[in-house]
Amino acid sequence: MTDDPRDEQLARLIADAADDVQPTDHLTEIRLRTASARRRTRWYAAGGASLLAAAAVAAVALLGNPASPTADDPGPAQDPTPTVTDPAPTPSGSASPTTPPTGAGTVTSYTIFYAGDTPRGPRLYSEVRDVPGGRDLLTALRQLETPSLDPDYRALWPAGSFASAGFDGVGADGQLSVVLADASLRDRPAGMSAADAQLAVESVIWTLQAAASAGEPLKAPVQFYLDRNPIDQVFGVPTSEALAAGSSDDVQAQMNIAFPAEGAVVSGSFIALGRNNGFEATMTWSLTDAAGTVVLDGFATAEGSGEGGLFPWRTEPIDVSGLRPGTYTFTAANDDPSGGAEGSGPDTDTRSIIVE
Amino acid sequence: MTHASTREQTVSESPSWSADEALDELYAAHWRQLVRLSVLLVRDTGTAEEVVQDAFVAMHGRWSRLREPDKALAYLRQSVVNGSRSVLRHRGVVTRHAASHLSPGSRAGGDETADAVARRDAVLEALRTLPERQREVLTLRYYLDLPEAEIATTLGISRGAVKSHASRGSATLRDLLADHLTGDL
Repeated sequence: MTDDPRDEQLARLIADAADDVQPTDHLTEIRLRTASARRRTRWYAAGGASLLAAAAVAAVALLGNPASPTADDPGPAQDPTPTVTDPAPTPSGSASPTTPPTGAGTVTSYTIFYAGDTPRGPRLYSEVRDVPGGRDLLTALRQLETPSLDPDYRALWPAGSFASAGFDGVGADGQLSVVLADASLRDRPAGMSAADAQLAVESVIWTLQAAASAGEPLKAPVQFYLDRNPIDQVFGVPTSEALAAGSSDDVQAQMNIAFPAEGAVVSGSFIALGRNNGFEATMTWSLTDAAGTVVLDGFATAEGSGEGGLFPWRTEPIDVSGLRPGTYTFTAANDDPSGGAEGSGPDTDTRSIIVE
Repeated sequence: MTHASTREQTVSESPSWSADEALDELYAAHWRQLVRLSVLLVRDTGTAEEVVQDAFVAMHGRWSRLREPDKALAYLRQSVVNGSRSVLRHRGVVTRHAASHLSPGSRAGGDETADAVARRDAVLEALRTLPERQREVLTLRYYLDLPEAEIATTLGISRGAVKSHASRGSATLRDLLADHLTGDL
C-alpha cells in the first residue's frame, strides 16, 4: 500500500500557521518535575503557584521574559532580566509595560488567590483564570474583585479597588507595587473579620507575585500605595513597609485542586491535579453523587511534603465512563493519620463537575 | 587506542544517554515542533505547552524502556496527540468559551500583514471544525510529514483508516480554506 500524495497547498498553509507559533521555553519546569526531591523542594519552597500556572495556560511570560529568576538550573538562552518599569507608581492605568504579544489568540493564565474555609480557619485557595491578552499585573489584581469560580471561595476585594500595579526592579531584586483606587480601603469594613482582612492583603501579595512571572512566583516584596504615597494600613492591616508573602502554612489551604475546574464537564476519564502539603505526601480523593454517596475514590502521592509550601499531585486517570451522567462532587483531602482523632481534621478542597 | 573496540561498540549502539540527557537532547531538538503540533490540535499555545511538558515528563520516566531517540520521539508524538485529545475532551467547554471571547483586535500584527494573521487564524479555526481523527491525521501528515504507516501506529488505527480520514479531512479543509488556497503564502 503506497501513501496517498499530500496536498502540498494545504501542507504549506498548515505549516505556515504552525510555524507562526513561538513556544515559550519550559525546560526548567520540565527538569524540575523530573528532578530529585531535593531540587524540587527548592523550587516549590516558593510556595506559590508556578506549577498551576504552568499547568494551565501560561502562554506568555511577563515582561517578555520566560526565565525564572532564581532557578538554579540554567535553561537554554534566556534573558533573566525583566524590563525595568517606572519606579514611581502612577495613580491611574497600569504601570506594567507589557504590550500584548503577537500571535493568534494570546491567553494568559493567572493564579488568583481567594479566601476559603479550612478546619484551621480561613486560608487562601487559588484558582487559575485564563484571560485574553498578554500578561499584566493590574489585570491579575482585577480578578481579585470578581467572584471566584468555586462558590466555596470568596472574593475579598470590592470592584474598583485597584488603580495600578507595577514592578520597579530587575530579576527578583525589586519591589512590586499596587496602587489602591479608594482611600476607604484603609479601614476594615464592618462584616470583614480580622482574619479575612489579613488574607485580603496576602491575596494581593500572592496574586501579584504569581502574576509577575510565567514560571516561579517572583518573590519580591509588595508595597501598597494610595496615590503616590505608601498607605499605612489596608483593611486595618499595617502596610507601611513593603510586605513579603506570609508562610504557606499560615496563609494557604494545604489542599488545593487545580483541575478539574469548577463546573468542568468530563467524560470517559479525567486526571485531577493540584497541590497540597499533607502527611507523608498522601492525598485522597473521592467522587460523590448528588445524594452524597461516594461512587469512586482513590489516592495519589504528592511530589513532597513538609516544609516549603505546597507540592504538586496528580491522580491516575479517573474512569467515569460507568457513571450515570449528572453533577458530582470531586473532593481532595489531605491524609489524616489520626483518623480524625487528633486536631481539627485535614484540609480539603472540592469541585462540582458534570459527568457526561 | 587500546580501547578502540569498546568505543566503537558504544558508538554503534544508540547513544547511551541517561534519562536527563535524553530529556535535554530531545527537548532541544523537538520542543518547538511538538508544541506547534499540539497547537494545531488544541488551538491554544499555553494549553499546548502544558500538554507537551507532560509528554516530556512521561518520556523521562519511561526512558529506561525506550532507550532510543527514535522510539522516544515516537512516544513523545503519541503522548502529545493523546494529551491534546484528552485536554480537548475535558476542557471542551472552557476552550470554546475562551475562544468565543478572543477579539481579533487583540492580536497585534507586528510585522505581519493582516492577511497573514487572518489566514493563520482561518487555518487553525478550520482544523478545529474537523472531526478529531481527521484533525489528527491531517496534522501528522501535513505538518510532521509522517508516512501513513507511522500515523497509523501513532493513532492506533489502520492504514486504511488513515487514508480515509486524510482524504475526507483534506476535502473539508480545502472547502473551508478556499479563500486562502489561491494566493501566495
